[in-house]
Amino acid sequence: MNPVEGLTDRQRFPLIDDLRLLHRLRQDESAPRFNFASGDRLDGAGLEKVHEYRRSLDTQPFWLPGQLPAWMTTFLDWCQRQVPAYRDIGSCFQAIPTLRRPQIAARPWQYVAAEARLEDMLVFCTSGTTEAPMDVLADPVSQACWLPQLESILERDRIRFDREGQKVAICLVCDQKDTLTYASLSTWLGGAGVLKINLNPEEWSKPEDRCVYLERYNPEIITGDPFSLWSMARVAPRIRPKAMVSSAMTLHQGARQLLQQQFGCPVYDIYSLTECRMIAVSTEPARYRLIRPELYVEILSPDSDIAVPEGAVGEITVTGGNNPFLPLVRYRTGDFASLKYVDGHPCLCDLEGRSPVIFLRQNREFLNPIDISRALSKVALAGFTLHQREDLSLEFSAWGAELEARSLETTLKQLFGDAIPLQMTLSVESPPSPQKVKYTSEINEIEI
Amino acid sequence: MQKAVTISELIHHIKQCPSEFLDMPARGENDDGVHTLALVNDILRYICHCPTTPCLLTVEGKADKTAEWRLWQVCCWALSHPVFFEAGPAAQWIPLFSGRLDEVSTLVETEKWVTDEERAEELARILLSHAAIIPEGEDATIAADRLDAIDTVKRMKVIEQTRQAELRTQEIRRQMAARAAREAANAYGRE
Repeated sequence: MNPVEGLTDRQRFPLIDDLRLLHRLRQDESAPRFNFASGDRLDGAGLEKVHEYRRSLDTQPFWLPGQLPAWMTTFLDWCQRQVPAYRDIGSCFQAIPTLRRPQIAARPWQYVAAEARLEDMLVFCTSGTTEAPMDVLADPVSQACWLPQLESILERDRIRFDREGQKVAICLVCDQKDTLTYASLSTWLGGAGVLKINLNPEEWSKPEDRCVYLERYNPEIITGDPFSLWSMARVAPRIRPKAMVSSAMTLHQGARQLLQQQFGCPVYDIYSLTECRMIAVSTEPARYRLIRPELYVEILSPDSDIAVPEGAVGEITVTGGNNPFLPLVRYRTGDFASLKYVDGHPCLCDLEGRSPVIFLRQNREFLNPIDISRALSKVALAGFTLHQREDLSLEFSAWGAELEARSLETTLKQLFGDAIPLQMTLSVESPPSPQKVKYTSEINEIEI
Repeated sequence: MQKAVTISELIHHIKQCPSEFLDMPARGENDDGVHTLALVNDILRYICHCPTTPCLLTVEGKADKTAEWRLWQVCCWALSHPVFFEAGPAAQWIPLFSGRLDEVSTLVETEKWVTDEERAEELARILLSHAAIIPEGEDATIAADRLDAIDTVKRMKVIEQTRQAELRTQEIRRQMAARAAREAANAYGRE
């Protein structure tokens, strides 16, 4: 189910009296055609909880090598009492069976704590770029805690938000065929603006409005996936953000340097998941420092629920978080890395499988895999693999019942261009690989 | 010395309960119904061989105790089995009548205690457990486990918990579909 607008601005921002910036951002003559509205819904009690969370990020210690965090016993006890899916997990952490995404996707309500107030529930449908779409439930507090997490990263480099009501603090940049876009405000940041924009020129009255709008509001922080940040570099607005934050896919060193030079600011690569938001940050190649002491990370063997030796690569598995609608216990992320302690602090190294997969249209423009996933989600596929060769030709394999070759071909040609060569294999039976969606490409950043 | 009884023997005894024990309790001195308190006190005196024991059980509280009293009457029949003779002082039985039996009486139709095999077994085991008598062929653990498995109060608790969980699931699913939940999730977008 797609998101729909269902609130008034007063409901979106219960604690913000001055909505002038919001109106200005929406009504600006160069503004994009925003297609959505959204707010943080933080009330007084919620805001206080975000403050508490912020303090805990500074004061709570990380676990020691070979040990569980001090909070684990209390957390597991709480989970057993509160969360139907965890009622019988027992108290021996290592004996608890791990959890995978399809289990949550099938029954998200089983992971909601009894104490969670249902009127606070937020639903986010993941794009399902590499897996089937999933509804992730959250509350306004855990949702808003993304900002303290980000602040804790930035403050290590003495970067701080101005927290001024008439400024834009954050701009989430996308470059997709279509996505939700909106202007919003942040209660946590004192009513400062938050934008989500799509650089696709079709979303703007004039293509040059993209630069005009960004330059006019000069966001303090720019976030986006590597594709979107590259696109912004090509659009080249004359803005001076305090930092840029890349997520969703690995930001390679070349791209990082390009962005740093062009925008004159540090660029952070964040490892995050929709299911629990931020996990770790990288400011140097191949090493991601964990940022959340309340989210325990272990590295498990892909075949058994046993931890691999320290330093060996295995599946990143997380426990904890602060979301009463989805507390996680030994949740396998599907991503692989090793865990090493650098000066006593846990870091993810050799993070695999998040390299951007670059697809090009017939006219050699970028095509974001999210757009491919979105388009193909309208066709009833059990799963698919898509590979683009160096000559731009495509190999597409799909499986599922009653697949229509013509409809799939039309969808792919609409995405890539009519003249692109396409080799298609359809089957009813799914292959043995557990991965439902797989993208590969022979095109790399350097060639572009 | 403690007398031995198999659980099936006691179940059989309970299921032989004469219909008079299921009659409605008397509402006053001149009512034709069963004078439950007198019956209970008589059976306790009888099984303890203390015919001069003063009245042990009185009733306070809610006016309509039909369900409780009818189960007490059935218990009086059950306690007439020889296994309970001299199974302890009469006073030890009082907490059973005013406690556990009261609790289950409103959860089960009275007739079921003497017609339904499992309820008859539950009643038999409640009484044996209260008298600290282990059925022949069992040990304390097996007896306790078996009573636990057929315990009406626990069963009803599980049913109630299941019902509450189902209501909660329905409410979460309803909220998931609600417009407000669908909108607000995009606050701050996704990093």
